[in-house]
Amino acid sequence: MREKILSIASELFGEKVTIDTKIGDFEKWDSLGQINLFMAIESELNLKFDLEDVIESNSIKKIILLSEFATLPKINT
Amino acid sequence: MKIELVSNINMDSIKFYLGDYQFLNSCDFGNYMIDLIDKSSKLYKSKAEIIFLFLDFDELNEDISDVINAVNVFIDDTGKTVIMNTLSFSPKYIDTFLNIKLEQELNANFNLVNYSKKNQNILLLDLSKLLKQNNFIDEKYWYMARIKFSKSGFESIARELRNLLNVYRYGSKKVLILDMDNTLWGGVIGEEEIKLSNDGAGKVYLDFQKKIKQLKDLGVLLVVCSKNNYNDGARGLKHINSILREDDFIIKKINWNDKASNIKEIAKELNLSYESMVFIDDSPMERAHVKEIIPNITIPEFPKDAYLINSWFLSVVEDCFSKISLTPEDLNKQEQYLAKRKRESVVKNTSYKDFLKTLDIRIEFKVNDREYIERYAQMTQKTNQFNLTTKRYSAVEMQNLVNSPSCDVIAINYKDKYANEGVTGLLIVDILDKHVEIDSFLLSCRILKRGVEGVVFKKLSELYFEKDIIGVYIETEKNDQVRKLYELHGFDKINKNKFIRKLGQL
Repeated sequence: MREKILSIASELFGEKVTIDTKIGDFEKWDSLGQINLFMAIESELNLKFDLEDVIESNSIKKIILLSEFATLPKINT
Repeated sequence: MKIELVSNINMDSIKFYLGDYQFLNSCDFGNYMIDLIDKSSKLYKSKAEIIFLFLDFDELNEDISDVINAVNVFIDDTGKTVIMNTLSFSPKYIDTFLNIKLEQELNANFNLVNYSKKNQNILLLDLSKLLKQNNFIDEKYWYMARIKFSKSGFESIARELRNLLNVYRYGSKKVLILDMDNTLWGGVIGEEEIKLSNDGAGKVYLDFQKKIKQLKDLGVLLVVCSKNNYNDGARGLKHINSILREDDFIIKKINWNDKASNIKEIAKELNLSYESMVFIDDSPMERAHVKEIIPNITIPEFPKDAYLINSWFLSVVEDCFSKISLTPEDLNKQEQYLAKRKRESVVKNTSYKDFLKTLDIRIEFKVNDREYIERYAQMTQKTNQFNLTTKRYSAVEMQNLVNSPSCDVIAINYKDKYANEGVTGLLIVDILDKHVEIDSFLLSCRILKRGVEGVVFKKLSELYFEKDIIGVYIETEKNDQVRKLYELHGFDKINKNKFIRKLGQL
């Protein structure tokens, strides 16, 4: 999952993306880049995120955590 | 290359899918109509050569004829090229079955297509075709950021736009090079009944051939490049169900040479670059081999499942053979190229003699020279093709012939400016009272087709000035190429094996 997200982001931005990369680190990762990154991750990993999460998850670390949680089985509380 | 992106929705994401183009946003969002007409706008000063004006029909407030008028003002003034899309509503309507939206679409697109036909600065990208795909639209990001399309939606638009830009910039490919077995038909011709029919498994190949034929009718040049016996391959094109016939192909390389060499010849004969060629072959090995040697040629993957060939081929056509306009020349191209090739082959024939002249050929004769007796014998043993009688002699026998007063052994030394080939031909002539008779005459393959034969016969006339010359020909399986040799050099036929050139006949 982590590798996959890094590679999706690297391909989309055409830059070397690492675990520490975050929004604003390069020109293409602005707010538009943020949305396109989520579009790509949702499409490639077959996930769906809430709008608030898309806006808030503005670093690779946050995105990875979000994605990993999204794939956990849902527990009814 | 720079492109101005102008739209009534947020299309900026396209830049993520066309990384090699630089997209500019000189227009203020939602202000494109004014920017198109206002000559002091940033759009007019833009350095981009191309404007991509993407209109979302759902969001379009203006009448399309007003948009066209504005675009026309802009083009008239700047001479730039504008890419527009055909107009499509989102696939789900409120007024389903009333066809109100359908009518609007048809009218709008009718206007657009007509305008683009009249103005060559307008290129149209067919969005309606793309919108038919599933998951083209993404509602979440639409409501979040006015981004309408999904990742796969943007990828499709980007691909279509890239193809259009490629044709605009480089023109489309000109030549389609095709393999035969398991490409133009199923199976291997010459070994089995090929699959090519209107039903069953052969239908795939029949449909494929139909598409290829359509492409030819749009001006694409067809070539076959196939490892088969020529007759087998040609038989496939005469197959009762074959849509493609022999004369649909401008060049047929049906032989066992490696395909890269064949394609090099094709490029030379058509005088076209590898960039203008597409090579289709079902064999991954052949594809890899050609790609290795000729990296600039386009070689699409070939589907593993035969039933996918037709849809796969349509995407190849979109990528490689799209055209933004059709000229009458496109339709005549086949004939033009055929005529050109004919002219060139005439030129080739005349220049062959000139070529020989430039070789600076020197031929030397050695009569009854003992030095190379071994070599003479060896030549009689080995030479099969240019060998009039194919008599084999051992070194001892050759020694006797050289020593005998009743015959002459004449060695032929060849050299030209590139190489000294040494002893490469041999004549043995029996000397009789009134005539001489050719017992053996052979030339090595290395020096064929260089006019050496003529020099040899001239030499014979010189050596035996007072006598008639009788030429002997004994047919073998391999020496067919010299069957007419004597007649070509002024000999008269006596019978199947003997020819005579009378004293002073020349």
